[in-house]
Amino acid sequence: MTIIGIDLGTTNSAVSVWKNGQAVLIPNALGDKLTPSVVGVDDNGDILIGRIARERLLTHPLLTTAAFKRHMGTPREIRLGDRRFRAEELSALVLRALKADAESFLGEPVTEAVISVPAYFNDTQRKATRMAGELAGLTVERLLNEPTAAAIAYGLHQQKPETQFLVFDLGGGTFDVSILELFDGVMEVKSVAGDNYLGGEDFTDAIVDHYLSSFNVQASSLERKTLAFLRDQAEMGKRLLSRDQPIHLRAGISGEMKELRIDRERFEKLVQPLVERLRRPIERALLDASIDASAVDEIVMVGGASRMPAVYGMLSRMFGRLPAAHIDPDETVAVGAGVQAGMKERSEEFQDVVMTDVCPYTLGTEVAMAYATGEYESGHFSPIIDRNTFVPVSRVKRFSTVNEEQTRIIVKIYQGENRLAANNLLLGELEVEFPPGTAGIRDIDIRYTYDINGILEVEVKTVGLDDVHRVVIEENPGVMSREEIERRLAQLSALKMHPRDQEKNRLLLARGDRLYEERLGDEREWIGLALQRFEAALHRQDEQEIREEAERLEQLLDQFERNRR
Amino acid sequence: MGVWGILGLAPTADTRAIKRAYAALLKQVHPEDDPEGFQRLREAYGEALELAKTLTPEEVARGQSDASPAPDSPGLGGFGRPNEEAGPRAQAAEPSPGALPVWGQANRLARRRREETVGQPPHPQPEASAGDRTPIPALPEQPAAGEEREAEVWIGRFEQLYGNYTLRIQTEAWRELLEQERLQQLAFKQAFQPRLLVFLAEHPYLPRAVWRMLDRIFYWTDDEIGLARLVPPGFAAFMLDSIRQASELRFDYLPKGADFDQDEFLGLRSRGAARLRSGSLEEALEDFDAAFRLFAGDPDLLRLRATALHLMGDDEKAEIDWASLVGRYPQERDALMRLADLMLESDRASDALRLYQRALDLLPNDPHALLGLARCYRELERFAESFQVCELALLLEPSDIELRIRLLELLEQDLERQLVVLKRYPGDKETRAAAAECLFELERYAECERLLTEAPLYGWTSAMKTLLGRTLWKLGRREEAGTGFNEAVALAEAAGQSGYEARLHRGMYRMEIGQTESAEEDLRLAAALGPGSPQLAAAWGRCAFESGRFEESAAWYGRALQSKPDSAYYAGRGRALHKLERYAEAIEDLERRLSVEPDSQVILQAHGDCLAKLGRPLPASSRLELPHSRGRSGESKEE
Repeated sequence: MTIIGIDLGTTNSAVSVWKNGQAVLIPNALGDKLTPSVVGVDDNGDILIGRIARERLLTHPLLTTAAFKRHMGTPREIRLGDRRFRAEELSALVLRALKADAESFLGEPVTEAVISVPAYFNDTQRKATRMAGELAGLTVERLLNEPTAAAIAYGLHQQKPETQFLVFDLGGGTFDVSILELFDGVMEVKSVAGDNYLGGEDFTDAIVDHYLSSFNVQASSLERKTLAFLRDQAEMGKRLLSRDQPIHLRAGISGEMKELRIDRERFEKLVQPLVERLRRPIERALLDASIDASAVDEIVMVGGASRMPAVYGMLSRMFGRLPAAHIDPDETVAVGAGVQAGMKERSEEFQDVVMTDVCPYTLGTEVAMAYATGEYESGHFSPIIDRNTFVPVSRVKRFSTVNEEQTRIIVKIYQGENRLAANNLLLGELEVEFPPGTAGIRDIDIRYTYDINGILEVEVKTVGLDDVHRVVIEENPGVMSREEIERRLAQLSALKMHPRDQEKNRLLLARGDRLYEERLGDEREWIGLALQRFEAALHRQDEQEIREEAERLEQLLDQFERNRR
Repeated sequence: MGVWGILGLAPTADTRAIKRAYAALLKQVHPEDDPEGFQRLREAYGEALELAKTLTPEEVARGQSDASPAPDSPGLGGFGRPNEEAGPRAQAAEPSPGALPVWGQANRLARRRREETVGQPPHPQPEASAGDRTPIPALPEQPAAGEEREAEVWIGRFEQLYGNYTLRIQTEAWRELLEQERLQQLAFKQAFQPRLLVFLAEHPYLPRAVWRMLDRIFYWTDDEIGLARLVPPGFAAFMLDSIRQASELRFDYLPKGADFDQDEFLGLRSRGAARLRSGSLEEALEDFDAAFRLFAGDPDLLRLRATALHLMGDDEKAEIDWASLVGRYPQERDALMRLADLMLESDRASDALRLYQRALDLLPNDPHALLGLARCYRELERFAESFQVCELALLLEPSDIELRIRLLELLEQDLERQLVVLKRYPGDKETRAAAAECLFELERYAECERLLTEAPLYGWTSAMKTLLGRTLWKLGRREEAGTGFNEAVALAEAAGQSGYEARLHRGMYRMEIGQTESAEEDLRLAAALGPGSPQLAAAWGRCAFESGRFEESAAWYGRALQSKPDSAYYAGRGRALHKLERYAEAIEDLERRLSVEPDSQVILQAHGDCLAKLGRPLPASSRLELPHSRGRSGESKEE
C-alpha cells in the first residue's frame, strides 16, 4: 500500500510519493507541482480547489477563501457563499484534491498519508490537521514537523558524516526554526522554536495596511473585492520588491483611483517589526540546543517567504554568512514528507536511518500551591514534559488532593511556558472521582505521554487504587466532537468536486475573468472578446476547436500578464 | 543498569564514541516501534554526553576498571549546577569601585565553546575545576581569533564612550553604537559577550537606559538562570538591578567637565545603594558621605543619604538633605513626601501640609500623600477634613494594612481629644457618642460600655443606645444587647428621628440570633428610611445567606461591593458563591478576604472546599507544608 507525503501549506500545498528510491512530486491535473491552498464554490455550488479558486479570489471574494490554515484548531467558521466551513473541512477539501491527483498518478487508490505541520503547531492544531486527513478519507500515518521534513530532504543528500544545521522555515502563515544533528544514520532534532502567527501573509498585510493608512482608509469601509484586489497586488509586489523593483498599488477608493509607490527601502522599513520577531526564536532554538551559532554548519532556508531579501539579510547579519539556499524552498517540505512516507513503508533504502524529533512546548498541569500559613493559591502551572524534550517520551509526576473531603480531582492539561496556568493554552481536562468511603489525602500520579506524532495522552492513576486511570477527554473548542465529525463528514462527501477533466478550461476562464476585471480600456475589451470566443467554443463542445481556442486564449493571457510584470 | 551500562560503554569523555554507541543501539529500539526502549536509551545518551563534559581523566581510568560508577560520584557533582564553583566568591555582592572583579566563569565558558567548535573532546585540566582566577590567554590556533580581535576593537569603542562622561550619559551615542549590524551577528555576539561582561564589571556605572539597550540585545533579564552561569551571582544581581532599577540612579545631574572623578563618585553612590539595600547602614553612609564630598548636588545621592540617615535615626541631618533636595529639584515627589513626613513628626504640621499638597499636585490620589495630609489635618485639629481624607485613601487602597493602622492611630488621637473635652463638659452628648464610637472602632469594648453607661446622668440618644447595643453584643451579652437595640429604636421613634442606624443594627442583631423574619422587617424599614448604604446591602446579603437564598445574597453583596470594596463583603459574596457551586468565582472573592485576614477558619474552609470541588491537584512536594493547614481545617470542623 502506497503512503503519500503531503505538505499542507498556508499558501500552497503539494503531494509526493517515494518511488524508485526517491521522492517524486506529483503534478496536479494542471500539471503543476504546487496546488494553491485556496477553496471556492462556483455558481453551481461545486467546489473549486487550487489555481482556479485562486484566480477567483479576486473576482469572487465571497465565494473563495485562502490562508485558512491559520484558523486550524480554532472553532472559527469561514463563510463560502451560503455554507460555513471549519478550517479542518477546507483543508480536507484540499487534501481530497491532492489525494485524487496522487491516485490518478499512481493508478491505485490511496488511503494513507504523512502530513507535515509547522513544528510550533500546538496539540489542538495537530489534532485538527489529523481530523482534516480523516475528513478527506486519509489515515494520517504520521504528522511530521515541517522543518524536520525539510531537514530530511536536505539531510538525505548530505555527504558529510556528521553535521549540525539550522532549518529556517518561514512559510505563508507560520515560522519555525529547528536545529538538527546528523551522525551515523541518526537524524536528531535538537530543538525547535517559532511563532505560529508569523509568515509571508503578514508581510503582504503590512503592504496593504501601509496603502490604507497612507490614504487614511479603514479596511472595513472597503468592498471585499477592492481589498482582495489590493492584497493580490501586494502579494505580487513582494516578488518585485525582492528583485529591488518599486511597485505601484492601485485601487478605487470612494470613486477615485489612488496610487501608491513603494520601493524596497520603504518596504523593508515597513516589515522591520516582523523581521525583528524572527530573531528571538532563532536565539532560543540555539540556546535550547545548547550549541553556538558558529557550530551550525549550514542554514537551510525553507518556505516561500524566506526568499525575501529583508529576511535573508537579517539571517546573514545574525550568522555572519550567507544561508544555504540550494534547495527549492517551496517544494522541500513535500519532498521530505515523501521521504518520510517511504520510511514509513520501511523501504530498504532506510534500513540505517532513524529520525528523532522533539516536543516544541512545555506540557503540564494546573496546580494549587499550599503555603505554611494554610493559604492556598491556585492557578499555577506545573510542567511535566519540558519543551524540546525528545519524543516519544513519557513522564510522570505525583500530586495530591487539597484536603480529606475532596472527592474528585480535575486534571487540567496545559501547554506553554508561563508560570501561571491561565497564560498557557488549555488542551483539555480529565476528571477522576474517588470511590466513596475512601476519604483522606490521596496521591495521584499524572502521566503525560507525547507520541511521535506530537499527540498527547494523559493518564491519571490514584496511588493505592489500581483501577482508576483514564485517558484524556478531548473537550476543547478547537477540537470537534465525534458526532460533529460524523455530521461534517456526511456534509463534505455530499459536496461535488469539480470534474478534473475540465480543470484546464475552467482555469483559463477564471484567469481571463480576473484579467478582465483588472484591466481597463482596449486591453479589457480585447480580453472580453477572447473570452466570449472561448466560451462559444466550449458551448459547441467540439474538442478539436476547444483545444485550439484554449491555446490561443492562453497565449493572449500570458502576453498580457508578461506585460504587466 | 547505569547510563554506561545501557550504552554498553565504559565511562568515557569521548563524545564521538558515545554517539556511535547510541546510533548503533537506536536501530534496535526504533522510536516508532519501542517508545519505552527508545526513551531509556535516549536518556542514557543525554546523560552520558553531560557526564563526558565533567569527567576527569582519573574518573575515566577508574571507570574503565569498574564499568558502572556510583551514581553519586564526584563527576555528577557539578552536573546541573555549573555555578557551584563561583559560590565562595558569591560574597562579593557589590562591585567595589576601582577594584577589578575577577572570575573565571566567562573565560571558562568562552574556552569551552572554542573546544566544542573545533570538535575536540574537552581535555580536562585540574585547575579548571578548582576555580581559575586568571583569565586564560587566547590560544593562537583558534579559528575564532578574528572575532576575538574584533571583540577587542569593540571593547575599545565601549571604553571610548564610557571614558568621556558627556558621551557616557548620552543615550543617542550608545544607540548609534549598539544598533550596528555586527551586534546582530550571533557568532560575534557570543564571542563578544564574555568580554563585554568583563568590561561591564570594570565599568558598571551606566545609565539605566543604556543597560536596557544592552539587555534588548543580550536578553539577560529573559534568562536569569543563564546569566548566573556567566557571571558571579553578586554581579548578576547588580546587572539585573541596573536594568530594572525601580528608583533610577540618574547620571545626568553630574556637572559637565567636573573637576572630580565621576567614576569614583558613581562607584561610591552605587556601592552605597547596594549596602543600603542590604542593611549595612553605617557603611552605606560612609560611601554617601565620601561621594558627597566629591559632589553635593546629585539628587539621587541626597535621596540615598537622607534615607540612610533616617533609618539610622538621625532625622535632623536627614531633613537637611531632604530640604536641600526639594529646594534644588522641586519636582522630586518622593523627597517632598519624606520631608513632609519628617516635619509632621516634629510638630510642624502646617509646613508638612503644604508639602503633601504639593506632592498630591504632582500625583493625585496617592495614598501615602493622602494619609500624610490626613495626619496634618488631625494635628491642626481639622478633624472632619482629616477623616474624609483618610477614608478616601482607604477606599482607594482597601487592603493597605499601614493605612488601616494609621487610621487606628488617628482614632486613638481623636479619642484622647474627645476625652479631654468630655472631662470638661461631661454633659456633651455628641462628644460622648463620638468618643464611644472611637473606643468601639478601637475594639476597646469594656471602656466603651463604661463611657456609655455613665450616660444616664446626662440622657441618652438613639445613636448612643445603638452603639451600646453593638458594644454589648461584642461583649457577648446578647440579651442586654437586644434590649439596647430595642431602646434605640424606641428612642428614635419618640424623638421623631429616622432611626435608620438603630433599625439597621437591630436587624443585623436579630439575624445573628436567628430571628430572621423580624430581622428582615427591620432591614426593610431601614432600607426605606436610609440612603441605602453598602452596610445595609451587606446586611441584606447576610440575611439572604442565612435563609438559604444564596443567589440573592451574592447579588446584595455585589451591590455593597459596588459602593465599597470591603474585603468582608468579598468574603460574604465568596461564601454565597461557594454555596451556589460557582467555585472559580468564589475562590477569587475568598482569596481577596484571605489576603487581609489569612487565618479566618470559615473562609479557609470554604476556600479549601472550592479548590477540592474544582479538583485542583497539589504538587506532591507542596503538600509537605500542608499538615499545618490540615490540622487547622480539622479544628474548624469541630467548631
